[in-house]
Amino acid sequence: MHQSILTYKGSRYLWWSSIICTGAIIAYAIDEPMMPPNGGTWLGYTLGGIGAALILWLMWFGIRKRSYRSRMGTVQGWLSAHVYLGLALITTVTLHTGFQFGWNIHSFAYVLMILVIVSGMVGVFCYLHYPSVMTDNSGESSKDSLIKQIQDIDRQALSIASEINPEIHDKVITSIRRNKIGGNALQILFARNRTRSIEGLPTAKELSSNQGKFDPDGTANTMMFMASNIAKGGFDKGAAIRRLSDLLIGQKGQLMKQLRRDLQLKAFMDLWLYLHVPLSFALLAALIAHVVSVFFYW
Amino acid sequence: MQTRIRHIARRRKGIVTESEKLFDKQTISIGRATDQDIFLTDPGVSYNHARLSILPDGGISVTSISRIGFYNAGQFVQNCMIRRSGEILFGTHNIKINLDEKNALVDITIEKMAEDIVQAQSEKMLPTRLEQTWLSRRRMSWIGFLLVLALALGLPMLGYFDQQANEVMKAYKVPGDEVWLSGTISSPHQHFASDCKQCHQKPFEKVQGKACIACHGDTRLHADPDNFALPELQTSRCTICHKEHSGSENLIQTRQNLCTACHESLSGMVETDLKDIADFSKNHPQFRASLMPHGSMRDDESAWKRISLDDPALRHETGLVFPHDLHLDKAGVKGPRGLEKLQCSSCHQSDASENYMQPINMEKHCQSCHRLEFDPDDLERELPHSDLKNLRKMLNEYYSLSALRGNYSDANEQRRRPGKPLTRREQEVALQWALQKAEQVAVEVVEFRSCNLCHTVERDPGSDLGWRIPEVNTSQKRWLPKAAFTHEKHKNTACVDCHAADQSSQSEQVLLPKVAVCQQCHGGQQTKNRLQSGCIDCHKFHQPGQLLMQSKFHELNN
Repeated sequence: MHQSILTYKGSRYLWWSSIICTGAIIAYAIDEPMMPPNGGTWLGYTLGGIGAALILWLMWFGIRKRSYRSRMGTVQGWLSAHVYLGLALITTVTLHTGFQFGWNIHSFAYVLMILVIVSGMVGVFCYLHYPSVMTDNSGESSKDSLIKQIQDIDRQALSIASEINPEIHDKVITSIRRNKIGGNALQILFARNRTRSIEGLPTAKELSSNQGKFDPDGTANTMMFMASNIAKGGFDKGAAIRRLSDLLIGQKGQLMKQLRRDLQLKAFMDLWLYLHVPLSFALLAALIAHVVSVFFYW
Repeated sequence: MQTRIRHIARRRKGIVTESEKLFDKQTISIGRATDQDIFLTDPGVSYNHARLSILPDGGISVTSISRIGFYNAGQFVQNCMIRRSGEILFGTHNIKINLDEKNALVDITIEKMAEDIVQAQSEKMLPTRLEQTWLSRRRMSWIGFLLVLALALGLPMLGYFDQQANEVMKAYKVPGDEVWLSGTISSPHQHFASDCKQCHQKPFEKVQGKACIACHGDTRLHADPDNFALPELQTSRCTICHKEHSGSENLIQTRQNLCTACHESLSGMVETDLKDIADFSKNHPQFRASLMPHGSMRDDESAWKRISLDDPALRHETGLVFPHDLHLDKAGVKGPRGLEKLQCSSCHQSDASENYMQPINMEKHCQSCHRLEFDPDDLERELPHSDLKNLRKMLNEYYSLSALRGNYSDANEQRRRPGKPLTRREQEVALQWALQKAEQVAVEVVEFRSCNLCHTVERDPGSDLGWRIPEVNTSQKRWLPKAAFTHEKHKNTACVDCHAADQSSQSEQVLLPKVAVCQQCHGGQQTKNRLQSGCIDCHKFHQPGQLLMQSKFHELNN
């Protein structure tokens, strides 16, 4: 049965995390350092050490999840621990700071850590939220099966078009050529239809000398083109043209929309990682600088 | 110029079949129709798709007749020009064009690259996942890691180890080791805050006392290093109590556990008469008053005797007879001007520091009531205070003058005519009388009327004066010199709340408040219901009279 990373093994790591946080809070409450609480008391060093060890271990997850042959626990278990122990950092490291902040590398490292954790929270939200949205969008179809369905429609359209006339055949080839799936990062994220008319059919702009007379997105133009061809092609070819327009405008359009949305949702699921991972490496550098500088000027 | 057209078909298992045709034409047609020179059986190609022309200069021009166009160098174009060699793509067919070195033969190789145009198109699919785009986690991670490392560690290190680089960085306001500054520098140290090396003299070494001594050499040690040869004192660093980088308010640590770490069990660590203490409200020992001795040792504080306020032997010999209770009688005391209600402040007045009281002074504080008059006929005339040596002389002079003016009584001559000048004989009698009168009044004043009221007067026939009056000892200002008590901070409290003067009938009684009196208001540092008071609220760490700090470091360095 599917088990969420949050409830993995009865939320075992939630308990671990709670124990760490509670222990840290109690220690902080009963500690009576000789100076105002900060990272330089024995408790400060202890909490800092725990925090640094946690950060290194959490970053190790990036390696562990790629070690497919590792027998060191399941990746799901690691992820569950990654989430909960990552949250425990907020408590341990905040207490490590003794609530002393300033415009320096030390607070900078802290801010980076908080950003990494917040981006991680976004990631947890994405992992819990988007899979169901993706299923709502494209049912059981995967990206590959959507592409396959679109290819089948293209092939059908090509074969129908070759029976109508060379002009329509050329148009259908153009339409296939103009299949634009994906693109650059922004195009994926915004799920933009980058073709100039419905699923790549030439617009009337390209067909007619009456430039600028038709709406630029070309939907109506493509319809007009189809309609004019139905009229031109005569009664016997009308059915084929209708079938063609149904395939390209109706079915293919729907599938393309689903596919773009699927890619968009997948991109949403991935996007937080583009903050989480680089920020965590920046944090690693800041952590090294923090530790070295503190002992350099002891 | 000839044109050779070769079709290559790759079958399964890598078998290659070729067919070859030679043309002499300069223009070659490309299309799906069977009459085309380059005949492509590809539904993605128009019947009459394009023309390939070989120009006289050796260039090859490809022009699309169909609207579909073709791919050249990854671009979808309607026409293109090829110099010597190039590749174009029609539908699923790749056409390689190559002109040989002698400009004699154009070699055209056609190869089907995919099953059909749909397949071919899908192979040209654009990135569908973020990781296939310019977004790269690996690249961004490296940039983030190296950038932060360079700014947060590299630049400060460079500035530290390379003075020249440091100057350049300062000139261009490039942040160096100031990004390491962990907190606000205290106000007294602000003027060298940007020069970390002033205190952090060696990398990876804790700040050493010698860095502090450079300026603070005149500060006193805590204790005598010979009597208190404790490793805790020998090895302690200034920074244990003085915390920098936490603003000015934390420069001097006030936590009592800094002191009690040793003083809680000091008696077990070193031989000392100092009492152990853990907390002011829990087990502060009874105060021990330092009593100023009489005589020449008065100014030597080390000779002062410390005695507990609980000790029954506690007495302070003032040399005076002075009942506080009598003077503080609420009904008032009889004085020359009638009943007078005295306050503590009538006699005890603060000095300029407002911390201590000025010494009591007879002329200033007592004499307005305790007048030193001696002649009932002349109450304006008073004797000078504390001049026993000249007492008889002054009285003799006073009465001699009076007698020579005729104001004397003679045993033989009962009545004498006033205004008539004295004869020589009479003068002698008068002076004799004056001498006797002076002696009589001196004894009266000293033994019965004035001096004896406050002083313990003893007859001492062997001495020049004939009396002995013990030395008065009321000049002591500080009674608890190891504590920094100030009256100024307690001026809202009534004197008798701490000093039970209204109950005291003897001047030997020491009216210092006991520790329990202080504890009514003051608690230890952790107390919840009283004023939180740590050790250094009363006691100093750097003890006046101890050696200078620089002497310790001088010793350590040698």
